[in-house]
Amino acid sequence: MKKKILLGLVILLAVAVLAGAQGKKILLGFSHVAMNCPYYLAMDKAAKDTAAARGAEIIVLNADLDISKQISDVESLLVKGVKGLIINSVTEYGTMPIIKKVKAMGIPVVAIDRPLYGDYLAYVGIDQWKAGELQGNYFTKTLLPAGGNILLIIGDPGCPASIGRGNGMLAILDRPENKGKYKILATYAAEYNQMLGMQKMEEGIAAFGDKIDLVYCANDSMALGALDALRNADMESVLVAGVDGQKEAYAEILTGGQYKSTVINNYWEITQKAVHLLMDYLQKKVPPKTKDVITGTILVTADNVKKYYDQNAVF
Amino acid sequence: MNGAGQALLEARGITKIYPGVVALDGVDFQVNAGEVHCLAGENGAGKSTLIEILGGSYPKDGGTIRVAGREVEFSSPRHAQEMGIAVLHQELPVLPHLSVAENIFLSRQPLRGGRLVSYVEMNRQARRWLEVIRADVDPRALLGDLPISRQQLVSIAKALSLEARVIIFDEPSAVLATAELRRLFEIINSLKAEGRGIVYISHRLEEIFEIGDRVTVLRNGKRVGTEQIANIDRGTLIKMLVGREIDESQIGGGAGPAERPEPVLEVRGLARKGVLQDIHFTLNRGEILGVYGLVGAGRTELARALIGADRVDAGEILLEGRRLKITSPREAIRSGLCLSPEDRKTQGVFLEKTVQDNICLPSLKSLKSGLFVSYLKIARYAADFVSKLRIVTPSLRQHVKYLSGGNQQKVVLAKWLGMKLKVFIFDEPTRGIDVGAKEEIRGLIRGLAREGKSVIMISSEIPEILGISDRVAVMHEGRIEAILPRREATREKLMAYSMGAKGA
Amino acid sequence: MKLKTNQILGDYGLFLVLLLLVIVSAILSPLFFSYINLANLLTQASFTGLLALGMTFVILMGGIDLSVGSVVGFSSILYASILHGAFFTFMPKEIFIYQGAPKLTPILPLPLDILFVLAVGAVIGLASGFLSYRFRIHSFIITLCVMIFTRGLAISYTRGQPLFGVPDPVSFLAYGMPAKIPMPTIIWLGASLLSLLFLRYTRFGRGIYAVGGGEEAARLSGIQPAWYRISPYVASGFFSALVGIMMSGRMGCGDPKIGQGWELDAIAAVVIGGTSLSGGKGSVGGTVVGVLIMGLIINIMNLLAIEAYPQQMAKGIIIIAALALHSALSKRRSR
Repeated sequence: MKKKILLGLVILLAVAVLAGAQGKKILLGFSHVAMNCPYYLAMDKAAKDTAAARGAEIIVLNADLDISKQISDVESLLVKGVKGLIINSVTEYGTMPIIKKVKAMGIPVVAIDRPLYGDYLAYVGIDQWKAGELQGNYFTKTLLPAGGNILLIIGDPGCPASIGRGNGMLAILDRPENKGKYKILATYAAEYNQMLGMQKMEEGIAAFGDKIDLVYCANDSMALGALDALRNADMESVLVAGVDGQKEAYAEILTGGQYKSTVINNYWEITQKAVHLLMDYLQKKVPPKTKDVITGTILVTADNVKKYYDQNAVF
Repeated sequence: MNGAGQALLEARGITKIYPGVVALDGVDFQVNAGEVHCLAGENGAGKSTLIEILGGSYPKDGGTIRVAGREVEFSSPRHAQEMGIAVLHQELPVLPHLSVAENIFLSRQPLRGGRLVSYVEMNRQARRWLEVIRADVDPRALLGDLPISRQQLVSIAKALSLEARVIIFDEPSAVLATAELRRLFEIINSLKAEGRGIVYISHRLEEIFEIGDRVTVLRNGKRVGTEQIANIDRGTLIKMLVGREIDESQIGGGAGPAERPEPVLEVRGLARKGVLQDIHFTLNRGEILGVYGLVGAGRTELARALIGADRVDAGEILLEGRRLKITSPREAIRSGLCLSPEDRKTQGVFLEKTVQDNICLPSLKSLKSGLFVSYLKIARYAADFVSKLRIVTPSLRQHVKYLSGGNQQKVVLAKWLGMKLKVFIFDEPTRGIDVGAKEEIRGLIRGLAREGKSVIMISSEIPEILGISDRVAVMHEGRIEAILPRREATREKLMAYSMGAKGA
Repeated sequence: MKLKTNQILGDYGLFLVLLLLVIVSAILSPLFFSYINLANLLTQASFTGLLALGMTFVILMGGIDLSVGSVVGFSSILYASILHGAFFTFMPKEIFIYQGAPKLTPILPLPLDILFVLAVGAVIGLASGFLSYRFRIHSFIITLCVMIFTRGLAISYTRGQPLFGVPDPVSFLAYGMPAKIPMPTIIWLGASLLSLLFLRYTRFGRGIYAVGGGEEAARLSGIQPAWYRISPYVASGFFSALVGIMMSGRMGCGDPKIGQGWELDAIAAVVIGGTSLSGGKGSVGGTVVGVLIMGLIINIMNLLAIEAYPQQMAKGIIIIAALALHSALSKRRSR
């Protein structure tokens, strides 16, 4: 019995202390999909910096590509008492029930990067399909006008980014004027990871050898990995294209070598916008102008790379 | 119960053939009510196979079995149990994590309400059976927590609970000390008085003569003969077992110590908390020091302490005057001591390795050619010992697990012989070995002493100890109660000291 | 007196650890005793708990089941696909693209759908157990193969994408709160209680302990080991399928990728709970405590905002510590 009383007192004391220490800062939560590559890390940093600039505190949890962990993460954030939630979903459907719960508690939700199905305040991201189309057009009109064999490396078959970037490009290839000129040799999945991208490229080289004309990866990390594999195999004439606008990719394009193009997916911009939207809503009750906020989707090639390349950028 | 003399179990012409070997060839065996029928034979003679068949574990290839006059075919051990035949195996099949009561009633647990196990009822019934044999065992205790002798009592209780009319004991004395053996015999006698039939397998001749009414001897799968115990003597029995005469008078008398005893090993004040106390003795060159005592007296612990396998808290050991600091078996071996452990199968040899590997293991350093071990040298070394010790094995590459107990023991001995060792410690070297092989082992040990080596021999068989030792040390609860020269050592004195009578 | 202390430590050591963890958690974070946190903790533990329950049966038998995580994923998409009228055949587009709440056209009426998926899970377990027993191959190998095969089957069937559309009753399985207690916890503890009674008070249950602890001894007592060796895997497959269906409710869709690594969590919980990997020793009660201990530790790390990867490190240390504790406690007990 004594123990229980002592325990109770300790808890009360702790609560009092912590409540005092809490101060008036708004607490935000960010349920992130993963932290296994540079742009996810960049998003993390952007979120923390922007939140600090707005005088708020943000807790970032990493679901490590596991949907059930993400559901647990959101539950944890709810326990911690966050007032607003930013979420980059592992899958678009898997988080629907938990987001319903969040909404029912009156907490606004902003989805970023990966789309979400449900009732949310705003979605901030790029148009994945358009990114794919931009690249598709670039291939058919500029890089391989006469036709060619393309190797496709996507991130994750279920992921909307891969679906958009991949199918957007494929849609261009399916147009009547391009029909029959292009062949997709194979599609690999490399989880958006550079090392896996290199491994998959090696497999592709082993399977198809000289037949490959161009390799298109759903993100720059994988494309850089594929580039390494091609260099190791002395296949300097195979063209490489990615998406995201990673600074290492810019550097490659700048050299004028086999890496030809990428599409900007500015994670910094997306995350900043998302935090600002959320804080505007919480502090000033201003809802976003549009539900879907699409940031610029721009094709970057040797022609315009100098404009975007910044050696000191985080990403 | 059945009237005395009525045949409870009758086996005729039992045959069992394995690929390459005829394990049993037309064996007849009969068990009557109210008798103890001993089954004897060298290892490999077919005893185990016979009782596995009688117990329902293996099917037979030929012959008939009759229980109470009716012919039966056992389909499983359970079936045999239902017919009233229970086998108590030498390696007790125990479920160590289940309670005593559960072990007794496994798959027959009393039920409450038709489907749920009733622990209350099960414990009650178990207690009843345990009381019948006056076993001081709590039915709720976990079987694995009990010492082996108690576990054996539990398996007897189980046999009783199965209402077995024929109970087959497979070498029960192998794990019992003298006092416990007494109790076992009391139990067997009372079972006998109830009209049950008992089959008793043992290598120990004294036991056979003490408890048995009849004895059947098997050799090479055939029945050599069945005799009434009252009608034969030891010599005849040995002859039936071995097929040749063994002059038991040769067993007596060791090589005898040299004229002037020359101490080789001196142990002073050796102690280990709770296990050994104040051990003092001296071992002379060319001497065989026998060590006798009950189970738990500390003999094996003493051997392990001398060899560095267990730590000691106090005391010193001097070898040829030099103080030894032994903290591991490796150092002991380097100093010149070696041990042939009690548990031959798991500690003495590597069952899964070949004869030559086992023999050569400690000596590998000297069997090299350049940097690498030379298989040629190994084979020659091993072959030398195989012939010297007359180890029976189809080849040097035979896995030791296929050898008989006696030959395995010879392999253990061979392992140490090639090294320049001074002190040999043997812990129950002839346990579980048939009569002929026992004698061979003893002869080899005597030979060691004759060559000037010093031997400590631990044994539970009084005739053996008396027959081989120059002096006998008797241990009781961790101390040496007395050390007697051969001529003063008698059976009564040994037993007295082993039970705690204080030495002079 | 010394014997008493050792005995108490041996029998109740695990509960003491649990109690200690609760107290430490409460001290370290004021949020611990909030209703929402405890509800989360119990809910998340329930899924591991059900897998650990099936795993307890298997480990008691001296085997191991590495396929549970894959069966969870597979069951989840099997269930979703049946709801859409597809069974390893063409799947309607609605499954992949959200166009409002889908109209479900299940092959079988609702409760039978669930039973069907549970039965499939049980059959997968049956196959594992049978192959392991009949061909005398260690269950580690067999269940490893089943794990790889089932996962591959699930992912290739749906081409890696989740399948949308799960009816409300199933959501209730995951989110319902009858009497303020999370539904998954009710299912988990209920199943655990039944299993505990079964293992303790039926002959078959005692037979499982026997065959796991010493098959030869059991055989000599008249037990035919076959069915005892196979049935634990059936139970494990059944519970894995159950977790798959419940996870579908939690996510609102079927997902072939869920469950990866969950088999290790289940094994860890069973081992922490005191069941011996060599078989024949342990209990469902111990596993329940093991699940709670693991859940508590993860929960407190979440509350203290410890990163995901250090959490993995902590899990590893805890399992080793638990094993060492059990070893020490059992040594003390037998003194």
